Amino acid sequence: MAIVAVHLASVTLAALPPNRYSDATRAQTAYLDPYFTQNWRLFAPNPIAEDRSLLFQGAYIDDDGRAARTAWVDWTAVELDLVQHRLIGGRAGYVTNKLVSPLRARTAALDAGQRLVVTGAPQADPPTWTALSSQLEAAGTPRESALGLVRYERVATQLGTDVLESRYPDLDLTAVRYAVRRQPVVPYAARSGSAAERAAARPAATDEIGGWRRLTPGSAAERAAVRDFDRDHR
Amino acid sequence: MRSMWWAFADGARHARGRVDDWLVGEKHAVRAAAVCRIGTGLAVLGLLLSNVSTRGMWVGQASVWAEPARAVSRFPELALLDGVSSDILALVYLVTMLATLAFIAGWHAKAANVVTFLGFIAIVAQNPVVSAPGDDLIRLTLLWMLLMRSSDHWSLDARRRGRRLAAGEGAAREEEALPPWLSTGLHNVGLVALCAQTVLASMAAGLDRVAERPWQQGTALYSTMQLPEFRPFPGLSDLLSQSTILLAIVTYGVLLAQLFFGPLLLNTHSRRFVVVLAVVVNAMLAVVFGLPWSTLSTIAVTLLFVSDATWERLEDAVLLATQPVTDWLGDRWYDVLDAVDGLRYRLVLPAVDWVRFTVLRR
Repeated sequence: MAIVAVHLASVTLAALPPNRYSDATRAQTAYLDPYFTQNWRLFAPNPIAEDRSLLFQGAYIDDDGRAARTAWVDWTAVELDLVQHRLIGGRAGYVTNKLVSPLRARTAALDAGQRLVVTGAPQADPPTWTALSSQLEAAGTPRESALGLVRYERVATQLGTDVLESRYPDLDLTAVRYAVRRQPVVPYAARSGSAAERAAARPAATDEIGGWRRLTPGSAAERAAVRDFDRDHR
Repeated sequence: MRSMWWAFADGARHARGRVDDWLVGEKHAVRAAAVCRIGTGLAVLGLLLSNVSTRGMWVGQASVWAEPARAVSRFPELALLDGVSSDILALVYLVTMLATLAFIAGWHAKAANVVTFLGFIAIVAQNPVVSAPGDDLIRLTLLWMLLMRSSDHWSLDARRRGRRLAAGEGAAREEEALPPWLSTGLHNVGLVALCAQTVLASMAAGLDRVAERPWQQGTALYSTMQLPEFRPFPGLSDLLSQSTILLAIVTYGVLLAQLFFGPLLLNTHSRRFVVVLAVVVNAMLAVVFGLPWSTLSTIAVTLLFVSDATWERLEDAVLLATQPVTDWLGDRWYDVLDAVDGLRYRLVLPAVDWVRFTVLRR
């Protein structure tokens, strides 16, 4: 019982909102990871107040040999079909919505020059993943940050490649990029207006467009799963 | 001074004796533990079933976007599904669902608890990106329930045990593995830990919220109700968010049920109130935000605070109320058995006789 009491004290320190005592005992409570880790921050402390979407666009060479681009594919909207109008939704309905935060967190820490490396890659000649890492490090990004950013860029690009190849099977895609779209919700003060008034009061959406990346297709099973999902929920 | 010290030492000894008696004397809240087992099991089964058709995107080969988060996770169970084919994922998924079903029914509940725990982590932790607080609660509940006797009531194990005892046989070997004092002590320790964990979860969530202005003003859930991923029924979300009073009731209901959950458990009457409030708030969250499994797991542990006497009264009331139905079903069951018997006499036995007297005689 004494062991359980000490353990519960550790759990309390680890689970409480950030405070100096929890910080000071972090080494002692490290044993809680992984089985006793816990996060009770559902809609807390401040609930998210914006829609977040991940969109993909592909580049290809058209019949006249000119560089062309596909329309943007709003993959988050496809996923949300799993959630909307259903009491029992699926976890796959939140994927890109949740992916937006880590994607943005990694680019938010960059300075203007480093951000240009991430967003400025050209459609005609996207860098390899190794080249992108090197360019980021050359621009002064710490190695660990660069690796973390490239890792997330890579998975977003891989998902984008699978999605676009599923959506445009007849196109010979040459590059892919993603955009994060954010739009704050209707302000609280405008909540009682008509649908038109609420739409008018809602702040406009902003897009953060990434740089072009080389196609990074996943395994055959992965592409088949994305294709089936797109067919069922688009 | 000396007499004060002796009085203190005597008091401490007395208190320790009472704690020891409470811990190893008898198992507490065995019916509540059974309800918690069933509720948590249903939450796991519901989560797995509602994602079965998109498991490839969620935790399978198409969950590539979860790879960076998965790489920093420390659950050893992740290795079970690391890079496996969709067939292996389907197999692990199926085994976990069957174990969960056994856990709910209380069929070899301890073994089912172990398999459900491992399978749940192996599957759900594959994708930390879309995890929910309910996942943490389910994991912790399954973990502490490993110590508890959750199948002493409302389970197939209990039914089997009852039949054995009625026939004059002892308990099954797996139930006698531990001496009674140890089995009882472990159950009570697990119960205390799980209850403390439940109170802590409420308190941590409540403290996190109470310092923020939107929660103080009763408007915090407005923005969540506007997000497409948390408004499965837009009409209901708009109805709540456009009414200042309804929105405040919902927001304060969530905040107060969490913040005061622990303190209100200390008195019998306030405990009843806060348990009902917590169940109602969670049921509301399930419908408004489309979070049925997270909220069901919370309701399951909240019901640990309902006393066994109440569960017993409830059981009697339910049995009494459903008696006409169960009697009718029992009669129909006998009708079915009679009909089967009739078919056996009219069709099967004549056919057997025909075979015996015509085919086999040759």
